[in-house]
Amino acid sequence: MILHRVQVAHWRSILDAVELGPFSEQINVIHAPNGTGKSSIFEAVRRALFDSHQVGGLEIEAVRPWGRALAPRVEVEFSRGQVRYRISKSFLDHPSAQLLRFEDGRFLPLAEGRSADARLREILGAAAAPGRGLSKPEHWGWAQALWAPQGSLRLESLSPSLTENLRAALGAQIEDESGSRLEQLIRERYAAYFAAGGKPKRGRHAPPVAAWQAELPNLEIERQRWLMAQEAYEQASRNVEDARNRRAQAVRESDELRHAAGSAQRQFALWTQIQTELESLRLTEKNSAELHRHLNDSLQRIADARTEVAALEQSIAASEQERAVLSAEQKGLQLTLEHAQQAKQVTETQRAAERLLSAQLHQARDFISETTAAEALRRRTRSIREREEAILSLQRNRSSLVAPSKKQLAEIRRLHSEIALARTALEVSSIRLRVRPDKDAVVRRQGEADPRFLSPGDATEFTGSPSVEIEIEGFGTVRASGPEGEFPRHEAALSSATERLARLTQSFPSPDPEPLQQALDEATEIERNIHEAQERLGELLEGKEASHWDAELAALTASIQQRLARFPEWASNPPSVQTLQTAYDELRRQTDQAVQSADVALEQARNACAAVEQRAGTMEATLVETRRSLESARRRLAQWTQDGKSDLLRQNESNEALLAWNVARTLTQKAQQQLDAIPGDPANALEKLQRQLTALDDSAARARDEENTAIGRLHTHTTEGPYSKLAACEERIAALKERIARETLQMDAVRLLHDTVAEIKAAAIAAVAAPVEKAAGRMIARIAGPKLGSIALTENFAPCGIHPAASSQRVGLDNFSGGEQEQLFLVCRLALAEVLARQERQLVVLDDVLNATDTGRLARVLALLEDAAEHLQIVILTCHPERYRALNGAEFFELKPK
Amino acid sequence: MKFLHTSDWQMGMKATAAGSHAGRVRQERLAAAQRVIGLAQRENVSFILLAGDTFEDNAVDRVLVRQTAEILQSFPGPVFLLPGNHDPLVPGSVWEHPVWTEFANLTVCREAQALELDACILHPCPLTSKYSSQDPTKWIRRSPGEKIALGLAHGTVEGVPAAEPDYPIPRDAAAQRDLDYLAIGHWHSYSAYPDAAGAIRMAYPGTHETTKFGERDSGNVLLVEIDGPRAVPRLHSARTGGLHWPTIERTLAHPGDLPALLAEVRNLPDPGQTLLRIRLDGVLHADDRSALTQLQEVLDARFLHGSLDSAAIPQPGDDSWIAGLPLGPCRNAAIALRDRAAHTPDPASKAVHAQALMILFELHEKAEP
Repeated sequence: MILHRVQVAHWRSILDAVELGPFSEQINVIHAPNGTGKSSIFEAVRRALFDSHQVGGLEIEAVRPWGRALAPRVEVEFSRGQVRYRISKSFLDHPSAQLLRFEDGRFLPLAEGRSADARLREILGAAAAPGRGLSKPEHWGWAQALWAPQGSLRLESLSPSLTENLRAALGAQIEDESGSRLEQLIRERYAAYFAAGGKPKRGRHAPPVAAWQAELPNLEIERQRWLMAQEAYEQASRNVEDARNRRAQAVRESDELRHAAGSAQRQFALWTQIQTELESLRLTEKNSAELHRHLNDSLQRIADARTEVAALEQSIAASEQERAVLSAEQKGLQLTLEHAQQAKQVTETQRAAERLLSAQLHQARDFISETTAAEALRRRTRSIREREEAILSLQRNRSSLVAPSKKQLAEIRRLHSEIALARTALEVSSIRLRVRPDKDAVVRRQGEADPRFLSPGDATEFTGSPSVEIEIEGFGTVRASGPEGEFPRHEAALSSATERLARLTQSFPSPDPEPLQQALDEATEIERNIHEAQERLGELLEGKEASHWDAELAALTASIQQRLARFPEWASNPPSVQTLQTAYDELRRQTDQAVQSADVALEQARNACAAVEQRAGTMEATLVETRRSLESARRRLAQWTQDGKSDLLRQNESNEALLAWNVARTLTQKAQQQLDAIPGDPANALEKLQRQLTALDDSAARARDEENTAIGRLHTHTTEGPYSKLAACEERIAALKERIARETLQMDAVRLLHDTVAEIKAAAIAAVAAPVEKAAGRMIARIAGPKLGSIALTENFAPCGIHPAASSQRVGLDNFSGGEQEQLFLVCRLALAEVLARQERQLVVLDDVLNATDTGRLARVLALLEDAAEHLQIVILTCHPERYRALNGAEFFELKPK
Repeated sequence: MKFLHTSDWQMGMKATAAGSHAGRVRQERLAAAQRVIGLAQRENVSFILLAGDTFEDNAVDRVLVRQTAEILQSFPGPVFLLPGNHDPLVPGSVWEHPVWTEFANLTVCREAQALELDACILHPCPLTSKYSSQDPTKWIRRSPGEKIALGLAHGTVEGVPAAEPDYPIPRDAAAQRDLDYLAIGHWHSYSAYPDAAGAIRMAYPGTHETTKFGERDSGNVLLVEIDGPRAVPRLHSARTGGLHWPTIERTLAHPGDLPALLAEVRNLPDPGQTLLRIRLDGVLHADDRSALTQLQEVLDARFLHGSLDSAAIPQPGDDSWIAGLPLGPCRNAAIALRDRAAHTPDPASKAVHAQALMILFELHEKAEP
């Protein structure tokens, strides 16, 4: 379609008729300021071409100029398929429509009224009009893709008819009408089973298989119930069988046990009989054995007693002989003892002489010691006297010497220094007045009573402070003065020091420090000598008084005198300790030898006597005991033989008893063997068997009870006939499963058919959309470069995303900037327009678009539009004509404001 | 001496293969039992031997037990019933039902003990458990005398393919036990075991009424005649079954195969007494597709029970109907489904693909003006 001219009147803000055209078949720019009515003209064209002239409602009422009773009018001239048409429509008041066709150089009426509306839609390939309502983009036919109203550049979706046109234009025949019908039937069949999401339908629209499948679990539950009943029946049957087996077994065991109990009873009777016999035989055996032992013992005792009596009599005779021998021996030993005692007394005399010599030896040794000690004491006492006298002499010398202490001497020396300093300071601070007269002169110092008489040339000095005033007779008074203050202080210091020195040295012969130092040195030397003498005296005294040593000496002297009184010869001839020691040692040796020999002899004699006495005592006691035993043995023998039986008779009796014992023992052994042949304890075995029998009877009774119980239960199950119920249930399940399988096969087949058709159709559509995607991708690459990649379209050719060059993931359009989005939608519209323009040039209307596109990209868009204008008529409505001035060959139409 | 040998009545058995007609199948077993009695009366047999598995399970409904006993008691002569492995002589078994003591002509063989009858001595071998690896006939010792020696046992004759020996019976058991005839049960199809001389002294009569699809020769009883001791028995198999359980398995190969099958099915006799199972494979030609639908309809409408299991797919080379599909996704989908169906090794997947093509075909027919 090509637009040639438009005339609009009474349309929104357009009151007077506005005519635009003739338009270029390539690019046209209609420009005007905002509010002038650019979009109203575009709207009027759409209403003229696609709306019924009889439309009503608020939307068309809004078109009427506000506050005016004017009927909106529009007239459009266009070409379609090389045929030129003119449509004139008037809306609202007296609505009308007239379609004219250019024929023979003029427009001739083609249709009017509704016919004009219908014919026009037919010419334009638009969908049926929506009755009296305004048309929507889906009713615009190709214009849906080619015309972009203000603010609606975005391409959401295209109507099916346009989509079909696009597909047809692209040469891809996906399906014809009959194909669509068949496909519709497939969809209907699919929809009978499945919901839109592909899941089987539920609820009241669900296919019958859903109800069958819902029934199946209930049947399965019922089947399980009967299966369990069947198992319970079989188990009950086994329980009865088991109980019967147990009861039969118990009866069998009971019978066997009763048989065993009878045998045990008989065994027990035999055992009891033998046991009684055995006890009797054992008693007989015991009595026989005891009698035999008794007789045998009597014989033995009598024989033993006789032997014992004879032996005891022999022993007594031998002891009496031995006693006589011991008596003689005892007398000889007594003599030997007496001799030894005498020899022992002799050695006692020798021991007394030895003790005497020993005492003399001790006395001599003490005498010599005391004499030596007395001499040493005498020397010590003499030295003590000498030392004491020397110390006394030194102490007297020290007492006579007056000397200061070291501290005092130091103080004296300090005071001397202090005085010297005071004098020097006093001298320095005094006024000196020196007078040397040329002639005699009498000089009187003030304050002095006596004058001084000076000879010519003699110099006399007067000192004083703070002034010195002299009166020279005949001359007058001379007064010298100096500064005040220092002199009296120095004078006072000197006086103080002099006074303290005088006080300190008043007890010494001289205040001079040097003599005092000398006296101090002498005193120190004497004191040191006294100290040394005292130390030597202390060494001699050893911490004791001198009187102690005197007393010691006196005691020793007294002791020596006593010893001399006993041994007077020692006064002239002191004893020799060595000589005395030698004599004593010899005497002692001899005495020890004699004593030892005597002691040995005496001990031997005593021991021999004691041994003989002991032997004699022992023998006597033994003899007494033996006699007593002999008496006892004789009494016993008399007792055991008092019955008067002979030994032969006794032996016969013993032999008879032995024979009876052997017989009884043999019989007992036989009975025991019979008893041993009976195993275990028959009584115990019998008791156990009886208990087991009772237990088995109980067990059989229990088994019978269990059997009866089991039979009762089995009867309950049997009455139910579970197998028949199970069979009927399983048959219902099988029938249901067969129906489900058939229906499932049907559903699976329908789904497979539907999905296969859809899959193939999707692939065909994808193949059809590819050229449009390719063209749009090429255009956007010209505008924005290759980074945006390719554009993805839906099966209805609406852009749905971008495949960026740098990513394998598709990116939604909302992720791009406003400028890029409007560029993407623009290229999609242009690409679709190129497809639709393959048969004839098509009109593209862009109402106030590309407002977000920057200048750089706008230039590329303009170049793109120039290229597109080779196949398309492009009408741009804008309030910024300068943005499109660069378009080559573009026609500009200005809509001037009223 | 003439008697009737039957076995494996399996009263109360489940018939899951019969779908919703399982009850009818069970009922038919009772009817077949009445036919057995009728036959016995007509043939004037001396007695009936029922060689085990009279009931499917010991836990069948007790009403059924009574119904069975009532049918049996209607026979004027003795009937000897042997507990089999399905109804062994255990506590709570069907044989404890009081009905077995109510009728004098019914004898449940409870002991492995010879029973002396007028003209013969019967050696029954009742089973007391469901499974055993013991030969139930090994106790049999022919009693001295001039009477015919019969055995009555239930088990698997050695050599019959079985997972494990279940009451094994030697193939020459009759000779081993010195029996004139050993009446056995357990297998549901008629089988006879001739001895070295060609005389048949042991046989399975098969169940009196077919129990399931695939049974070779069931629905019969045996009429046995023995002239005297050591005489060769004469066996005659007589039909007593009321239902037919045919299975038709076809591989479709050529156009017209399916219509021919349809005609064949239509001509099957006694469809009201027939449970028919049809298994199809191969390829389905375009012109035959409507026959498939008709076949299913015939099965549902005429037969007691019909089961159609079709794994047939439209013929790969037959593009006639696909070419008739509208150009576009539907036609391409048909081609894809046909190719996948032809190449998928999974039978279930193949069936789904085939069914999808069938649906497409059906919808295409519907869509055509």
